[in-house]
Amino acid sequence: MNPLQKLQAIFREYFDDPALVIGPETSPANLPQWDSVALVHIVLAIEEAYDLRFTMDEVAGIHCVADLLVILEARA
Amino acid sequence: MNGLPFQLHHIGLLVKDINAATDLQVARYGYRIESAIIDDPVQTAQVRFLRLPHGQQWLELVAPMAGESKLANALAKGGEGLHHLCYEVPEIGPACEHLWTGRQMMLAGPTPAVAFGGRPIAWFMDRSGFLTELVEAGSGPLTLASLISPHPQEPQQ
Repeated sequence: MNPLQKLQAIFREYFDDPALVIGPETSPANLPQWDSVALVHIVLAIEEAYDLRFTMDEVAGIHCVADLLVILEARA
Repeated sequence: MNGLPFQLHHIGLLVKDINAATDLQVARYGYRIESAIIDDPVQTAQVRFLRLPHGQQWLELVAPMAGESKLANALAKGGEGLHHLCYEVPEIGPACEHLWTGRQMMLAGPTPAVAFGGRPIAWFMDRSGFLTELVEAGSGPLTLASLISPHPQEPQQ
């Protein structure tokens, strides 16, 4: 499972939508249910899945899935 | 941090219409208007500050800006009501670190805020979804220091 697929699984579980498809361009602008509360829970789920802790700057800089992928690649 | 120098600065209320909400707060509780309606394009919000006579904090009325606004969803989901608490801190960096260490999630900042004359603010959210704002202390309007100065702000009409 590549990082995008792993993120998609996390998004699908949080939003309770098994058919949800995300890509690097996915953001609150095109996924309206991605609000601040969702961001908090998604970040916590990613931290648990990858056994890492985001930095403050990393979280504040998350505006789309591509931002998450960049962070995960840097941490790999 | 040496101690925890968080002081309540304001309570943020999410409203649909700032003028209508102002009229309500003034008539119901005797709040005084302490700022014009301020457009904040970064927060995609319009805000206005009110304060009770001799009050030591403000009430901030927050409404979505026309068009695209991050707050439109919150208003649609939760309606009007309590939106956030804001604390004034001497230095925003250490205060952010303190909240972060306590597992609050930083959503934005520190960023200069038009509503506070460029003083930096930051936003945090806990797991329950409650929002906390931090604003760095300073001098001038809408600072806690201004409330204890010998020349307090005159309420605006």
